[in-house]
Amino acid sequence: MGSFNTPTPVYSAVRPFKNEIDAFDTFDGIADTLMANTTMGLKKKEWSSLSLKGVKHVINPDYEDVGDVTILSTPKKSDAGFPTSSRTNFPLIFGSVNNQFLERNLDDGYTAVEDTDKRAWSYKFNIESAAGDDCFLQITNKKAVLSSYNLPATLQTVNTWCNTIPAMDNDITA
Amino acid sequence: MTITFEPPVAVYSAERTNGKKISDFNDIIGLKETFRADAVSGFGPERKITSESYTGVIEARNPTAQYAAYVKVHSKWPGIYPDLLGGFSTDWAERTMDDGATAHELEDERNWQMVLSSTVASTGDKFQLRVKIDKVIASNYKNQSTLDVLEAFCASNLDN
Repeated sequence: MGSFNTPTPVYSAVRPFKNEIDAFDTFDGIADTLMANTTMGLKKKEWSSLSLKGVKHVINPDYEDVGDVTILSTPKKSDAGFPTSSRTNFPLIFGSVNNQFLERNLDDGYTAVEDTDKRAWSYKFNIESAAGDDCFLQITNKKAVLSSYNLPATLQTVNTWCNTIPAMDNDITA
Repeated sequence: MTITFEPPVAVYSAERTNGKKISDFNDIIGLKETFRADAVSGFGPERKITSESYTGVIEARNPTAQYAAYVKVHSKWPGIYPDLLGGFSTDWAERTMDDGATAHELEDERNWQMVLSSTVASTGDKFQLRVKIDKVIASNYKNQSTLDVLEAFCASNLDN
């Protein structure tokens, strides 16, 4: 007679940041820190996805909100390596939507203001712990998420690493 | 005394595919003035543009043709939309990234639409006509004859 085998738990945990990461370089630098890390003993560190989004409102000389510009960078996984071009160009492109750009294309007095509530920066890595636990670590400007892991020790390892990053300043809560 | 419902009122909507997609921004903008000035369709004197929304997407690529980013521009103000979208040109890409960087519009991502509202003068039947790049949607009208009026207007102005 058939029966199920022993079920395998799959966990996910979120580590909300006490303060959102405001500086793109800080956010981007965490990826480099992760890739360079050796203390966690990870067997695998591969980027899985990257999405960088920012929104600026266009304000006319009468202080009316007359439009918005959304910059979205979502490179395909098929691009070789962790996508340097998108990481480099996103802040340049977003920063170029400035008052000078608007005055050049519209009229004097137009301004650009970022809607920080719509800021959404995220990258996700497929990692494998020293014990062979294959899972995903997503880092956004607001939180870190460890998902699809099987071993509680994996969470402890990642949490310990997060504690060394000043921008990720709260403990993961399962 | 027995209280009962009044006779039900039907409100209709219908969709029509444009004979040709609107590809020139001036054509959709020009439709506002055509609508306001129309003297042959039998619309009532009060004619409103009750909403406008214009969205366009630019794809930026670096000099080695690697994808860099999408730039999505949205405005309810037709007076600034073309200049704002047009500002994201290859010149802008080269200035912002490197020489050889390019920017081009993804025309399939265009979403231009406006809502024209009025009545049919002979019946007083109110209607709304949402004009999009590839179709129009007539709605909120009660007389089926209103659709004939709108059909004639669309055939004259959206099938060229």
